Amino acid sequence: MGVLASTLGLARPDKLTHRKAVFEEIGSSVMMTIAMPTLFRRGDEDALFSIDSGWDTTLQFTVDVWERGSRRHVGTRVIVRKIRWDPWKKKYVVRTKGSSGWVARTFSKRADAIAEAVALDRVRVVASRDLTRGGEAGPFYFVTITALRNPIEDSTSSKPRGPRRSGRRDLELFGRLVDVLAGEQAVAEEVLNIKTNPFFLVPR
Amino acid sequence: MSRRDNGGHVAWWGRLELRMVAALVVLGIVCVGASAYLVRLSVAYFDDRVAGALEQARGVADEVEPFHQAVVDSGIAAFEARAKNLGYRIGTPPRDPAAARAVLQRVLDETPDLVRLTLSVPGTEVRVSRAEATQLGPLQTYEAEVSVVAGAPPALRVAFMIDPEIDARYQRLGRLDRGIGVEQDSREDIEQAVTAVLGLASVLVLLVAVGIGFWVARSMTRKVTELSRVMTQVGQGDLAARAPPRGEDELGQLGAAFNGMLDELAAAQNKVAYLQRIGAWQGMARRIAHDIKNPLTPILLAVQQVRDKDPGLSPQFSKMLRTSVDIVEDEIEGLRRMVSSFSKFAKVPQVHLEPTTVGRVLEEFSRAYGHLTEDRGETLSVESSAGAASICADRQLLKQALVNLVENAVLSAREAGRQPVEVSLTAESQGDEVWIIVDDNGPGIEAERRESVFEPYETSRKSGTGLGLAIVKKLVLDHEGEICVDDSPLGGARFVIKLPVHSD
Repeated sequence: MGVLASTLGLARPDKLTHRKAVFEEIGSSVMMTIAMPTLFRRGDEDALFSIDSGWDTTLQFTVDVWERGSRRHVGTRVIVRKIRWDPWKKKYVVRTKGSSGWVARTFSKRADAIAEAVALDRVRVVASRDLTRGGEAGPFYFVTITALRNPIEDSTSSKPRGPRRSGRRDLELFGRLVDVLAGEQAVAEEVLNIKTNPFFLVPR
Repeated sequence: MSRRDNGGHVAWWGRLELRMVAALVVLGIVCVGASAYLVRLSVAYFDDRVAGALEQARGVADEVEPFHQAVVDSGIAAFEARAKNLGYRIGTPPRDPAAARAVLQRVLDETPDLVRLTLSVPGTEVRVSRAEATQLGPLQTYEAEVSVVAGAPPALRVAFMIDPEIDARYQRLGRLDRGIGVEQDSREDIEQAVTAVLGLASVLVLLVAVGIGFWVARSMTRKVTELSRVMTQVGQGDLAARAPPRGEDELGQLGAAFNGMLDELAAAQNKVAYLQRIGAWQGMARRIAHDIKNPLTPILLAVQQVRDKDPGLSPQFSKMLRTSVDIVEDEIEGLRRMVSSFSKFAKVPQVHLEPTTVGRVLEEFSRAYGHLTEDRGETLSVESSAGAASICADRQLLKQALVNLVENAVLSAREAGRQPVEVSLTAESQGDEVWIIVDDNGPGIEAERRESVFEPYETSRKSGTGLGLAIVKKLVLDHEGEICVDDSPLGGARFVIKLPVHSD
């Protein structure tokens, strides 16, 4: 296992929030460790209440790997987590969707459960074979993460239902105009767009 | 500042077109504004209603949450009690693990919602579970730990399957509650967007309405402007001005009626002018006839006396005298005929109109004047397809007009050397008019002379006085009719007398 984390400098300024991540090559995969505590902002009573109420709070992380400079997209992965209070066992449960189903961990304290939920701890982001080994000479890669808290699955506010009649078509057009003028619709309760520090694979 | 300058032009701000467009724009703004305001009120009203409904829905969700907790708590209590009961049922477990497993298996088989039993026996643990238990997640089972012997530490762990529908329903409620929150958060933005869309739509509708209004106002005011211009021209004496044809609407009909009125006015004016000229000529003819006619008789008597008193001393002188007297007599006879024509022209009587039929007039004409063309194989045909048509006429004078026309036709054809002379007199109905048509095979009348041919003393015949057609036209005008000249199918001239049909 080689430590690949690098602080060679930040990429050019971007709209994305820069956050430091740790990259490791384990076996044939590149693993990343990063925490995103701001998905649950301090004082966000609604978010905490939602957890305590026993409803699932879904966290969706879309992890994209890019080659620095060329902006070539190397790979993507979506990680879904759910956190909730389990009233039967009186514990907080954090579940992560894996290839073989949901993997659950329980916590007595909410803060511990949240800390577990917002952290990607050694998650596989890309296969090593998809990257070029060049050491410090490059190429360098970086990861962007779009983290959504409770993504809104379907905005139904302006979508008329029923068969398409002339009135419906007008309503549909009207709805589209309203959507355009209403601005970008919220995609989630909380959205984080993160760009990590660059990393590279050491030659073998 | 006056709306109308000295030249009769209307100032731009006083023009009908601009005022109509302004009125339409103001009307459009008021209508669209009122409509937009009402729609805005409706949106706000329904937004309030939706907000209230969302609040109520959220309140329902809040009420359900403790209820769910109570369901869970009661479920826990039930599972704990049933686990304790199972512990008592099992009682002191057999020391043999196989026997203990059989006991647990029997209990597992008898209890459908049991997924797993774990019993601690000395030295080991015995566990039985259902095959599907491995597929259940941690949120789908509840595990209780109980004693199997009173006072002993817990030795039996019992895992129950939680009814998955309880959690599924509660999670659906959570999603609905979250959806309500999203709707509440976006409500204000959507309301503003709806207002903006309505505003844009209103402006669009207003622009379209203004465009259409401008087009309509322009097309209407253009007609009015043109009509006004023509009226101004007419007022300044230009009776030839006419409004251009503009559609079939009321303004178009007004223009057509105005043109018709101008046509009638021009015709009446021409008629009056003609009659005035004829009157003047008649006065002069009467004077000439009087002044010439009176000395003719003394002159004739004097020259006849001179011839009669010739002593006959000189045959040569006597011959010259007779020849001179003959010449004087011929010329006096010529003057008499001319005076007679003048006198006839000057004494054209007033018409006395009375209802009659065209057929009767033509029949009388044919009977009385058929001899006009009896010489040298000349033909005069009289036909009438409108014999029964009723007209208001002075039969004698109308016949006189026809005589003049036929005479003129015959004499013109004779002078032109036509052999044989053909003259046709027909009558036919044309709408509310009766046309009496005289055709001949004479030399015809050139297009440029067709108006002046009716003027007194205008003639192309060597022996004509130029009064016959003038008398005809005067008589026709006195009959409220018209007369015109055209080419005849016989090859000569065609005179058409147009008389209005008399209706009771």
